Amino acid sequence: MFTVFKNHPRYVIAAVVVHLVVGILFAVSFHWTSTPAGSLPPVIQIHTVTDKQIQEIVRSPKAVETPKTDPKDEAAARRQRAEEQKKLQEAERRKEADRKKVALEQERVKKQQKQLEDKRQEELKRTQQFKDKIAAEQKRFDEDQKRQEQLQLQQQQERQRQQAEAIARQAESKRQATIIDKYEALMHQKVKQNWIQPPSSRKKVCIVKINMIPTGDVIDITIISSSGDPVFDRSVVHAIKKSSPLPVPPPEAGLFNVFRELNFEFGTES
Amino acid sequence: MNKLLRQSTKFTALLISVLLLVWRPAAATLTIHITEGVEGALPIALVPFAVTGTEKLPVSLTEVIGADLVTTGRFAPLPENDLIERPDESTKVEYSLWRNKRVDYVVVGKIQLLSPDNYSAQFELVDVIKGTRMIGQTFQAKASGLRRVAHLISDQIYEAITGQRGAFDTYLAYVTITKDRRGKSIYRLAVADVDGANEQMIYESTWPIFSPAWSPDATRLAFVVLRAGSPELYIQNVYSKYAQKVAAFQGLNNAPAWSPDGRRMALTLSKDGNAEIYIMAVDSKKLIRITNSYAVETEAAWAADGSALFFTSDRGGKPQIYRVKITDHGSSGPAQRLTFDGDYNARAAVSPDGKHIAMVNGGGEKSRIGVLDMDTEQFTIVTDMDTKLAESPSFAPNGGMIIYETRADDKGVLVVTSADGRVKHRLSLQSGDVRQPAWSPYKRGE
Amino acid sequence: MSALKNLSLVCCVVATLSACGTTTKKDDQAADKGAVTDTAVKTDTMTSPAASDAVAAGRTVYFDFDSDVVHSEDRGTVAAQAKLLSANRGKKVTLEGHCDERGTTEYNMALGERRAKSVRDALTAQGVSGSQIKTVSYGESRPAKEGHDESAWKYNRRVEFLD
Repeated sequence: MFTVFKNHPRYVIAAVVVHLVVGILFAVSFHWTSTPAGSLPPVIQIHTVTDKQIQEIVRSPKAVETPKTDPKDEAAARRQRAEEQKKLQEAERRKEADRKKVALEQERVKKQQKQLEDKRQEELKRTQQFKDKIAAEQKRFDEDQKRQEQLQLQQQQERQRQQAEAIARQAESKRQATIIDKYEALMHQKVKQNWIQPPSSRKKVCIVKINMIPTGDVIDITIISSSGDPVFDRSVVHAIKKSSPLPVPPPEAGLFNVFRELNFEFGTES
Repeated sequence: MNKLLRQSTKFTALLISVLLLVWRPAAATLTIHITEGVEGALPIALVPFAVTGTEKLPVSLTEVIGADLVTTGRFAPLPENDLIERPDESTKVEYSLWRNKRVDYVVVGKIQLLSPDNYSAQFELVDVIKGTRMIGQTFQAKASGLRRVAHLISDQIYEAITGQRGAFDTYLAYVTITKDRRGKSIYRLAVADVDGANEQMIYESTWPIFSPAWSPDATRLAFVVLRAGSPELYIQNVYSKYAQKVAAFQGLNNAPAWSPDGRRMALTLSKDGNAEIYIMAVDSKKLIRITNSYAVETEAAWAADGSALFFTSDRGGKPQIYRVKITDHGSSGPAQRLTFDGDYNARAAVSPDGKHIAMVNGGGEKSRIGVLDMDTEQFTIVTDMDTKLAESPSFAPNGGMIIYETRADDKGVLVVTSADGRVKHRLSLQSGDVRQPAWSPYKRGE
Repeated sequence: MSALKNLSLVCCVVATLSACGTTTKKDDQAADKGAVTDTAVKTDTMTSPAASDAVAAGRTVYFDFDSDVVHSEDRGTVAAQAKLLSANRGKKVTLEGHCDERGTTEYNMALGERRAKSVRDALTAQGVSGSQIKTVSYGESRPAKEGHDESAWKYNRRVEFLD
């Protein structure tokens, strides 16, 4: 598993990124659904309450105008008038006061309305900001995704390129392998024919390393694993020496390096 | 995610294969496996030894050596006409000349007549492929000893090249049958060098002689003379020529086999009813009975360590080889049947290392020589397909060869085969009808 | 080796002479019993088709390969011999067991002996005294008929009755 991580950092990164994006997506969608539900209704509430208040306040001065006096006695009338005057004045004053009060109230309401409006505006602004943020988030996510897709596309292309290269290389290797196989078989044949196997060679194995020059002439034989039987080992060295020069691919094949140093394993364990 | 994983696995595989392809030439040296070579003889050139001090030698050493080496099947001496140079010392050998001639080894040497009937013979063995002198030695001998010098040189060459001790300085014992002027058969027990030279008669009779058996020190022979239908057992020293009758009980007295220590002899006696195996102390002639059954039990052969006897028994209906452990007092435990290939296996001969049992494998119209590998239980017929009447197998003391008797033109001939049956060589002897060969052990303390 | 050659020849001659001596003596004994007396004649028995004479006289019985059971058609021969021997208690017979060339020398020695003893047992079962019978074996050394196939082998797996 660890090697998978190690071998494909790109995909691990991709996976992490996808995880992060999905994570963010979860977080964002949570805000989206819960936040508006909790903040918008109070704004509406404020609106309704304010309208009622305003209607009440506007209706109340009419109720104040309704009571009226009878003008019979002059003095009394005067007085009455004065009184009435006074009352009128009073009423006027009160009216004025009421007017003032209403105005004040209106002012207050207006102010309140403005405040509410401001608040609403602010809310709107905040909502907008939030929307913007979401949009930005979305945009970023989209961009990320786009980038991701692009990356994947690039990777896909890279992969295809590598595959194509590998196929090409494989074809070349195959061509080389065919040549190598051919000369391996030729060498095998020649050495086998020159190997006079001692009669008592059951369960004996001898491995020799040989070095060749491009003509196929063996210039060095080293026993790297003896059979334990000097007669068997000697038969092996003889077989190699008698097979020199060994058949090697033509120089134009460019494969001499494969054959420059070779191992020969003689015999079987059984 | 799954798709990605799958894709990445695919990619990994591709990556690895690409890397492998790219790394191939650099990563590991190419290894060519050769599991099997050719079964062939090693080309060896035997350059006739340079002679000084005399005009003509009584024997050509290189001819004797060449004949010795050929019989093993492991050497192919170069015909004398193909010799490209005739050096007499290893330092004068042009390795490349011989290499071009596809020769692996060259033997050179000189013989000098130092004084009347006193020769000095020197040889050297050269590995021309590696370009090294392997061995060399100087011998002194009389004219009559020159053949033996050649056999000793053969032994040294054989051992240096094959790693196995040679068995050329040993004897063969065998029986010849000739007719006298009146057409009467004359049987002779003879001993010769392994190449058939220096044949010497040991015992002669008008009665059939058979089953010569060498003592482990190669000085004495036990053998059977079938006198008037009653086989009698003799021992004779091949140097003193004194024959001693050691068993002439009523019935059979035959199939002798010396114990590895030479102090006891297994033999077949039927004095107590039918053919049974006994062990006789060679000095005291005291007998111990080993087998006891209604069946025929005969042809005992000693295990290499002397702990058991192999013998032929038809207790199972057909003759087969059995093995019984022995003690100082008799047998120990029941005999165990060893052979199951074919319905006639008889006359076991144990290889010197005890790992192989040669025997006559027959039934029907053929009798061949088979070798049982005691470790693998593999049974190999070493005689040729058309061999009909092969008998009396006997191992060379190095275990590398087996001599046996077979028939050609109605006469017995001796054939030496490599123990694996690959190479056969018919021994040419002066006598016409030759049978019952026995290869001697190594000579001791001579 | 060669130094020993002369001595060996002398020894061989001595051995041969002594062997011949023994033979002569044995054969003399055999002569007393009325058996074939002289080696030369004996050899002739081997090489000449004396066996067919024996067949004519009903004095040979035959066997299968590696078997000591007398062929059923030869049981009359055994019975006739048994009658003859029982009637003449002083008469002695030597039963010679033989084999064909197949098989090993020593095993065939034992097989020839067993064939002879098988015939002996048949005779004693029919009233012949064991003291009248001597058994010997020549193994494969004395074929009655030369040849390397069944046409010869069937004549060679036999027991001969000799006086």
